[in-house]
Amino acid sequence: MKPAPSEPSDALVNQLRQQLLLAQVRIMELEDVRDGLAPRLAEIEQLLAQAQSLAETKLDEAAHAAKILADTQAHAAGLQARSEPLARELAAAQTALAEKTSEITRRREELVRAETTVRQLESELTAVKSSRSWRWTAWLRALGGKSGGR
Amino acid sequence: MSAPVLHGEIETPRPVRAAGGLVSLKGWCLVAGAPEAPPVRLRAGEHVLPMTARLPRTDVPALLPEEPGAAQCGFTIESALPPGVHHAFCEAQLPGGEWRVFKQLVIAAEAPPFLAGLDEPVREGVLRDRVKVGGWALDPARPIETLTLRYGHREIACVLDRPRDDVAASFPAVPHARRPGFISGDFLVAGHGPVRIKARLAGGGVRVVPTSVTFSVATDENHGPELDLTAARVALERGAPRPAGSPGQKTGRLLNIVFILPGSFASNNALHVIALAAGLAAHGHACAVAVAHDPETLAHHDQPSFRGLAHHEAARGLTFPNGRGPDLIHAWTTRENVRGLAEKLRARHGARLVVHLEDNEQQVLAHSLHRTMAELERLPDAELDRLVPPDLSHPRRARAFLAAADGVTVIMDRLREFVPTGKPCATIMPAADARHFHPRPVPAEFRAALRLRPGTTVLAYHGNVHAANAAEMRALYAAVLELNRTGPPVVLLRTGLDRVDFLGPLAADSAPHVLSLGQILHHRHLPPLLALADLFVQPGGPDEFNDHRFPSKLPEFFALGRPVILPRTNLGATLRHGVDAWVLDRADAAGITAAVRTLRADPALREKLARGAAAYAAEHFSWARSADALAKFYQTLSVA
Repeated sequence: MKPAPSEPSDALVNQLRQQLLLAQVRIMELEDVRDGLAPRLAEIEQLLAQAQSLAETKLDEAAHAAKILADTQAHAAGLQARSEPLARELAAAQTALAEKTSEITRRREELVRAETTVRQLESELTAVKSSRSWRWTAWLRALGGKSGGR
Repeated sequence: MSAPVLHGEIETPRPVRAAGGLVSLKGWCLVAGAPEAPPVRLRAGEHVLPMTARLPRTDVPALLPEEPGAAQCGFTIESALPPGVHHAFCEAQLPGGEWRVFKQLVIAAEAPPFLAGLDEPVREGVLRDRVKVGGWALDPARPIETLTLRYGHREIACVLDRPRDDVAASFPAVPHARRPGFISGDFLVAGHGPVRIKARLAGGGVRVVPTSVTFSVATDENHGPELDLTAARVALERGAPRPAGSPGQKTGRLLNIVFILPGSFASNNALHVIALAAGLAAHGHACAVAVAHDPETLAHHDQPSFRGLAHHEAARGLTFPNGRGPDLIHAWTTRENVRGLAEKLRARHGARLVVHLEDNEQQVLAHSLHRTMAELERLPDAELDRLVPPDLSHPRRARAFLAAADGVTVIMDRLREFVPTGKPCATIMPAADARHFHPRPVPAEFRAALRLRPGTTVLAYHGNVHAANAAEMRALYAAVLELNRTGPPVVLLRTGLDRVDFLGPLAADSAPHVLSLGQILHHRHLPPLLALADLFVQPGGPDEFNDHRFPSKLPEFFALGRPVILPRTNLGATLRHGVDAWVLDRADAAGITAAVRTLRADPALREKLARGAAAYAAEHFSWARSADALAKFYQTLSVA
């Protein structure tokens, strides 16, 4: 069979075919890029939304914490205001208590001194009763006791 | 006196996005006991956005019936915020004049949109005249450096900096809005399609907006009426990816496996390793793949199930997700760069070593160095060391490397000749990626668009030409030329790189019959192209090189369901001629020519061979099965 005549435009047509095929390859590559980017964009959008939601939650928590702090501080201030007269009463009571304590201490010292005196007198009495003169004069005190008892 | 109490809510769905920089908020707010609802504003940093409108509400009075201001407590705020993420405060003004926050928001504001339009000579519709066209374009953030109009296959440049008082009046705060007009630099040229305005901004960035205009200019000085620019595009059907095979039953303990490749992820053997690694990962094993160069070529593969890295990175030591080093090193060939890294890693991590053979390495070396194997064997060590490049196997060191391995895998049984006696060995068959390589019909519409001559037969071959296969590829081209000289036309669709000049004087004569597309970066893009073919041809014949290799394109040929012409060597030696494939004693120029003529003349035979090819592929080629076999082999090497 006679070979097909090679037309002058054959090379050009072949180049066009080649370019058409390569364009298809490029389209496939771009489709892949598109198909890859679309879910990535969606993921990033979702991440941004999550980050915003998280930030808002934290802001709400921070606001709530700030409110609790303010409430607590106000409550503390109220307690402080109420505690001041009590503190003054307490101080007065403590002063009175100190005075009473001092008085007790003084009385206790006086008592100790009296007890010491009693003990001295008892000792002296014991010494008198043990003396010879006391014993020798015992009969006199007995007589006196009898006559007086009558 | 107690402090005023605010009630309020923002009802715009959260999170709030300011599309195009425009915030739009809706809500309600009132001061307890106040006769009227308070003024409201949004404060974000230094930006204060006042209330835009007061809205009546019926729901709030129902909710708070004792509040006199409830009926008119609705509001909207609509205004612009600069791009960015803003911490914003919704504030209401108390009767004493003080602004108090009642809500906080995080607002993500986008950049203001690029605005543009055509209005000269038309604002919308179809323009068929070869005229100059004009319009305006404005990016509120940055001036425009260059601007083009795109339509169909055309892009025409425009002249900027023309006054447009109407636009300037609308954007008094934008300094570069004074001269936003443009006009095309020339009259419209032939082209058809909706018009987009594309601007390149100062400081980088590109903006594109569609218009309401379609240009449909049928002819110009370079395009006659015979070219129909309005014709619909004929697409090359890709088809949706099919599911890959399921892995078999998991056995043994999970391993850390590193594959060492001699080239990049763009090589054929990388396809094998990637597919096997995917199968092993499905079993639960952790895989890493080290390549000698261009690790960025990993991007050519979708969703790899392993860590990819370069040899030099791996040489510093490997740690897997479980914190351990590799349990097993799979050296992919005995090439010097693979051997060097494998021995280094083995010494460091004490891992088991498996070597994979896929070629007669000595023959490849002999081809590359243009010497016989006998000559190479006689060379003294020093001379051999000097001659053998890193990407080829050193005959003596490769033998020692194999001898020291714990096991060997081969791509085909014939390669067991090179496995030391008694060494555990497994044959791991290559396959085709089942997601993309499956029987596909010829895309008739697209093939018709190629305007091939009537009766044209399309052959396809995807693969590189190198020293080892140069002669047989020359035979394929010679066959194509001969077929065109003596009969109906034949076109060879070819992809891949020519690493050697293999055609010589055949180049010019064969060129009109070859559609050479060069390297296709993404392997998954090949099947739609290969589907254009009527027949696949693997040239060559039995010899020391072919007998010990398994051309990786063969499973892909068979999987696509076309008649395959191939020589009686490697896979061809196991096939049934006339059933599975058309097997030639030698697929040289004469053999290929005769085979193509035979098949072209017999449609029934072609159909039978197409079915046979698909059936053979389904029965013998499966990456999932190969990965199962490999996983089982690993377990036999006492690594468990």
